[in-house]
Formats: sequence, C-alpha cells, structure tokens
Amino acid sequence: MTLLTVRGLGKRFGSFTALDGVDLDLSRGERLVICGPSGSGKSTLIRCINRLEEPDIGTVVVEGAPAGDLQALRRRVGMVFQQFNLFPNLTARENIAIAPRKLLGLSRAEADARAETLLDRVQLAGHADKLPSGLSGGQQQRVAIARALAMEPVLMLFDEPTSALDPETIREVLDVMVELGQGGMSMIVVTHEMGFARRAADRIGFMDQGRIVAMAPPREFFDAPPHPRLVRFLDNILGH
Amino acid sequence: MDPMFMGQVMVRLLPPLGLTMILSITALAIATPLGLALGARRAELPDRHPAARAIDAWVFFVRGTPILIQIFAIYFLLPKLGLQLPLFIMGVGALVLNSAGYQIEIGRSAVQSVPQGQWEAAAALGFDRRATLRQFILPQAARRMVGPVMNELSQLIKASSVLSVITLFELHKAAESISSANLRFSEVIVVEGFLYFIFIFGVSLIASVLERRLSAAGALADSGSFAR
Amino acid sequence: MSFDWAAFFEYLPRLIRAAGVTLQVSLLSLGLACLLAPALALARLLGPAPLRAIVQAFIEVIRGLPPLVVIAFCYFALPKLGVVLSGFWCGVLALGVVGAVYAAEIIRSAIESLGKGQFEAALALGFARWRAVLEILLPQAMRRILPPLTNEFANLIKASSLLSVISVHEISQVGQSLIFETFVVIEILVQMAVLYLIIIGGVTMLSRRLERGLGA
Repeated sequence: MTLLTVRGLGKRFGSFTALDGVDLDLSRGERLVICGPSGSGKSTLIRCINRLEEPDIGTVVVEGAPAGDLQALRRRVGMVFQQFNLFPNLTARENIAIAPRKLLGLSRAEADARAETLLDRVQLAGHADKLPSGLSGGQQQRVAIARALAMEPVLMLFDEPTSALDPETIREVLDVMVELGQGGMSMIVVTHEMGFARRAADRIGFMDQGRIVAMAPPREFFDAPPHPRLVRFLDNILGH
Repeated sequence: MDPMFMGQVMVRLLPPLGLTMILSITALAIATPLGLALGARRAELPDRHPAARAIDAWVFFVRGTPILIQIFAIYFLLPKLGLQLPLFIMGVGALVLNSAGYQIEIGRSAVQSVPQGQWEAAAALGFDRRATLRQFILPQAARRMVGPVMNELSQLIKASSVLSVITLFELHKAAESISSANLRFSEVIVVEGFLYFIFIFGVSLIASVLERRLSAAGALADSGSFAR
Repeated sequence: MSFDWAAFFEYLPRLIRAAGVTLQVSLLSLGLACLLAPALALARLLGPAPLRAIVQAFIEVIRGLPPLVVIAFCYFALPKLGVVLSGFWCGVLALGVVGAVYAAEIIRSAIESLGKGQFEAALALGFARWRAVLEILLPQAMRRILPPLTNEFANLIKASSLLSVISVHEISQVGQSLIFETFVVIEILVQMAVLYLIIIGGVTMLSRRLERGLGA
C-alpha cells in the first residue's frame, strides 16, 4: 500500500535549484535511505514532505492526510533533526509528553506514561527527569526520536540524524533506528552511514543536483551501482 | 482634518522645534563627554572609593526617579539656594543631569569593552595610564559608544518634551498652547507627532548607518594588530 | 537651612496615597501591555506581510514619539473620535500601549534569538505556528525577556509621573501641587524622590529574584 507519493517536486532558493523534479513512492513498512553529495537536495526533499519547506512545484501526498491540512500531515509524519532540537527548558519526559498533551489531548498522566514507555524503548529509562543539557548527544537524539514517536506517526523522517554526533554515540542511535524499522515503521533516512543503509534499508536512493538518479535495493546499490555519479560517490565515501 | 490648517500649524511649530533640537543637542554635547570621562574614571575606581560612591549615587538617583522629579529638583531647589537661572539653562541642566547619569554606564562599559591587550601594548611601549587613555582607549571607546549615544539623543528629544511642565516653550508646550487656543486637538497633535517622529526616527536611522560604517573600520582593533 | 520634619510628616500621608495611585496606574498599564505585547510580537513574527508591515509601522511610530504626546493624544484627541476616558484610564491606555510596543520588541527579538531549530521541531510535531511560538518558544525565551522587561516596567512607573499633566493624582501631581500651595520644597521633593526610589528599587529587586527562580 502506498503511503507516500511525491510527484514532480521542485524547489529553488534564489538562483540555486535544490530540487529539480523528484518523483518518489514509499510503501507502508518500507525503509528508504537517501544519500548523496552535499547540496544534492536530500534535506530539502524530506523537509518538503512535512512542509517545513514549501515546494515551488509538484505534489506530496501522504495517505490519510488530506491535502491542505497541514496539522494532520505533521501528526502523521514525524521528523528527527540533525541538531536534535530538543526543547532546552524541558526534561526528557516533558519533551516527549508535551505534544501529545497539547495536541492530542492526552491528560498529563497519560502523556507521562507514554513518555516513560518510549524512553524505555530507546534505552533511556531512568533519564526521564534530565534536561537536555545533562544528556550526551546520542542520548539527546534518542529522546528526539522518542518525542517524534510519541505522536504515533505512520512515517518517520530522519535528516542526517547522526551527523552531529560523536562517533562513539552514533551506534546507539542507529540501533534504535534499526529496531524501529524492524518493527514495521515506514521511514526515510537521509544519511551518510552506509553500514546502516546496508543493514536496514529496503531501498537506497542516490541524489545528485536535485534529482534522484539512482534507486536500488542495497545489494544492487553497493555491488552494481547503476549510475556513474554513484560509482564515484561510493568510491569517495567507502574507499578510505 | 484640514491640510491647510495643519500646514499653518507646522510652520508655527518650527521655531519651538528648533528650541527642542537646541536643548537636546546642547545637553548631549555636554553630557556625553561628561559621561565618558566619569565612566572611564568609574571603571578604574574600586567600589568603596568615595568618588565611586558619589558616581553610583548619582546614577542610582537618576535611574530610579522620573525625569520630571529631576526637573522639579532643579526648578524648585535652585531658587531656594539663591540661584536664579534662566529657564533655558535650567532645562539644559536637568537634561544633562539625567543624560549624564545614563551615559556614565555607556562610557564605563565602552571603556571596559576595549580589549585588555590594548592597555598592555601601550604600557609595553612606555605610555602611562593617562596617555594610554587619551591616545588609544578613549578613541576606541568612543567608537563603541556611537550607537548608544545616538539612542541617547533620541531619548533626550523625548525628554525635552517634559520641560513643557516648567513652561519652557519647546515643541510640546507650543503645540499644547496652540491646541488649547483653537481646540483643534487632533490636528495639532498629528502635526506635533509628525515633527517629533521624523527627528527621533531620523536620529535612529543615522545611528544604524553610522554604527555599520564604524564597526567596519573599528574591527581592526579587536584583531590585535597593535601588539607585537 | 534645616530640614522641616514637621512639614515632612504633615504631607507624607497625602503623598503615600498618591503613591498608591502611581502603583495602580502602573500595574494596570503593565497588565494591558502584557496582553497586547504577545499579540503584537506574534503579528510581527508570523503574520502575513501586510499585517507585519502595519504592526511594525505602529511600533515604530509609538517608539518615535515622546510618551507625553501619546498621553496627550489619548486625553485630547480620542474624545474627538468618540472615545472619552477619565485621566486615570487615559493614563492606563497610553502607558499600556507604549509599554506594549517596547515589550513586543523585546519578546520578538528574544524569540528570534532562539534560532529556527526549536521552532521547526515544534512545527514537525504538529504545532500550529502561533502555538509553537506561544507554548514552546515563549516559555523558553522568558529568561531572556525578563530582565529587559522589568526595566521597561520601571520606565513605565517613571512615565506615570507624566500623568500629572492630565490631573491624575499620582505622586508627581500631588507633590507639585503641594509645593505650589505651601512653598515647602525640599521636604516634599525628598518624599517624592524616596517614594519613587522605593517603588522602582522594589521592582528591580523583585525582578532579580524572579530571574534567579527561572535560572534554576
């Protein structure tokens, strides 16, 4: 079943073309990784999906969210940011509970309970009362994942979730993401972590200059890259 | 709203507007060097020093009371002490008293924001404290003060309106007397407001332009090009 | 010249009552400002371009006028437009609007200084833009807002002295009439100054305590 349909997406920033006609379909339960050189439009693409950026042309349709209802869209789609963007004055528990409480109408008790369950799930039970400043980068990102999950989205977007992390903490975040995917969550992950892509992706897309120029399952993607630009990219990123 | 009438009002208000500007600019011209000098002095004094205490008391009084009270202090007290000064002088005096109180803080923080390295470089070259201040520190501090001082000018123009209470014939008093004569309050206030606005807004525009130009030029000092 | 303590105590009760009026006017206009300011800040941050322009123009105009002119407008010009308020309520309105305008700028720049990240995180969770600003960003910005805001409140209290020109019986008006009636100068001036220093000093102390509470 198609969860996400993107057609003809285009976006320019001044004279710079970030997206140059992108088409994409995502099925329920599918895990898509998107990679590419910087400036290729990866972040812009997923930010257009939850409308943090407004596309200039093209359509984005998320199943179950009628066009024009921005809030409904954002409740079905969760996002995890490169810079975590936790709310600094709220504890981990409060960060996770605030949106369900204020937007879904859960009572404080219900929201807190949900937060505790999610903290457990991301291996952070016991850190509920800590402020973001008291957590490591990897811990903060896991709280951010829990915060997005608290809204019970059908699709999770990850915008370079580990790029701002110390190498030691990258693993703990990726593990959470792998487990999430194995549990059936539909996800699109923009990342350079090729190990993760190989392990956890159903398909990998390669973007260059605003277009998806290659899309294939991991085996084919790495062993028989279907596009010369991709060949060069993989050489650079894998061949140290 | 009768444009002809408003035009006439504007013409009649120009001389009092001139008085407003003279009052404000004179007060600024006196209060700014005073503030800078006292601020620089205060920056070097330990808190317990009597001069420091006196300066702090002045600032405390000026910031903790309305300017109207400070105007009253000069207007009512000086005659009691035997001083009969012209209204204009008392007006400028009150504005200076007030503005210097705020500019001491501006001056102090401007002096303290000049990097320590500047003092050390000058000392290493053999300059004494007074010469260092005069040659190197105060000029740099002055550059940092432009924005706040222009803002202070805006504040002075606004504060000058309060001098209307002691019947000094500046812009607000003049507008008040015109409108109480012909009762056409709205139109007179619009003209008065317009005149105040173009000057106050104009000053803040000049301030931003000056600040931008000076910060481009002044960037040199922070990069430590002085020291060897 | 010696200090006339008898005169001092004779006029003290009247001035203390006037201080009560000063406080009333200041607190009411603070209340009005606290209601108006977030609305103005929201309009500036999130509104459609025409609204943003109008609000910005309004803010620039009020900031570009002496408070006395705003007060005079409320007292003399508004009645011609059909709005007749007593001196006291003109004062509340005028000071409330002026306070709101300065507070709105403080709020707006504090929220902008928080950076886009948290705003986007709130949006991504599904908060509408105005709710993201009010319920996520504003509480976070409080620590940056409170010090300048308390300074503005102190300015408001000082501006209340200007209401003496529209016969509101606050400290400056009562003090000034007393001086004219009785020719007692120093004793009354001292009382006025001390009353203001106490009120404004109290506000400053309260704000420091509040700041410490927020910093926890």
